[in-house]
Amino acid sequence: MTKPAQPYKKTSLEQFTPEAQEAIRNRAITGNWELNRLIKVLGELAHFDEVNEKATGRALGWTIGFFVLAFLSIFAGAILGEVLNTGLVWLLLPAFIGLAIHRLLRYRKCKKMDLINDFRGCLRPALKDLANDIDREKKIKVQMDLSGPVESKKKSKMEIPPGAYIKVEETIYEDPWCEVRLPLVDGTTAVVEFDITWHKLDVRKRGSRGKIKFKTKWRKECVARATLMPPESIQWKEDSLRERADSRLEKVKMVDKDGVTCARMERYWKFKGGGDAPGDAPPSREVVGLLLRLHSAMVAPPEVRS
Amino acid sequence: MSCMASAGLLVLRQCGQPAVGGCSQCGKSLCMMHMAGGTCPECMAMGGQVDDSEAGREAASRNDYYNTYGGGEEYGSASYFSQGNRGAMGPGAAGFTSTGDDDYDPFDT
Ligand SMILES: [Zn+2]
Ligand SMILES: [Zn+2]
Repeated sequence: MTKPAQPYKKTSLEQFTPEAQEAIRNRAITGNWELNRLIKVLGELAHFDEVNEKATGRALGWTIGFFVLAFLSIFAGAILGEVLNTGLVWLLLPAFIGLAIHRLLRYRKCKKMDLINDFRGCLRPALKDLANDIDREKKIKVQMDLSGPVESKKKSKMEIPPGAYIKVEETIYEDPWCEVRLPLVDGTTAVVEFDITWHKLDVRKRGSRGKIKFKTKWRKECVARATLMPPESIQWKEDSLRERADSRLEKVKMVDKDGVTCARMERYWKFKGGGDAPGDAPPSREVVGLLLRLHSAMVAPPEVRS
Repeated sequence: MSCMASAGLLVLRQCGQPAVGGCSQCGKSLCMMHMAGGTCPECMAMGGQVDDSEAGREAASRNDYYNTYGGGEEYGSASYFSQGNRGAMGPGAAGFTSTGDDDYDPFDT
């Protein structure tokens, strides 16, 4: 890695390990990881993301505050300028506008570094719960894109029937953000994938006093897909697995991988939010619950090698 | 003798470390780490006691998972749960809270 050529600009990123810094810069983690290392780096990213989210909120607050002050300074300039007989008060206007723009730029910079919350709200706690099932001699293959609903993931943008509103435009982003392959102590591989479909609605509506208003709404649809791949062909208790699935939200499927029958379970979640993309993530317990039921559906699980 | 305390969640197995004593409640042999609380982590978790060691937290979390998603024979270790505990468990997938029908309405506020 080349070091950024601004040593005078001490960024808070320097407090993190090189792996975490790289992940923050790329908003992604890939490669083969040792479990403890992965949990540690995800922890660093979680800390970064929490701090960055707060900074984003603060920067937005200051931006709005300075724009309001700039607006008020127009009146202050007019009134005080008259009373004090000086034009100096008018300098407040460009000063506040300058500060507001400065904060706005900071807001945009923070926003660009935002990571989706699912890795810290869901994946990391799940990995911790599974820690004693993972073969520490082997590495975990990881493919994670933490950038959330960005332009490159945009699948469609179109107007939809507006109903009671004036105009509604829907943008859809496809975000298969995560795949981890966990080597279990019994030789089975647990593959966990997360897909998100983001729906962004830009609504134009008429307010109560006839004013036109704009509003953004989000719907986040998450799917977690867990697949257990035994080292060799085994029997599955398929019926009992299907019985133990919640048919409203879950699907069970047997899939063939290189002649070995693997069991797969999917679960669906949906979150809504206004303004910003929802930060809610599937509960880690429910993701581990998929693996738990899959593993217990093996008729004779592979022997643990000691 | 090797430690008979449980390890793992998906792949439930015995700890297997050399035993240094036995659980004061169920009597199974335990290693140094699993002896720390006097009883084995499973007995402690069953008794609703909080054992703030790593082994204790693991046992409590496992207990919690098995209560939600089913356990006992399903997990390859018929002796993991007592008869009473098993009776209380009921069918798997009991702890679900359904978000249910697709009530998505793009126009609700
Ligand atoms: Zn005991
Ligand atoms: Zn032990």
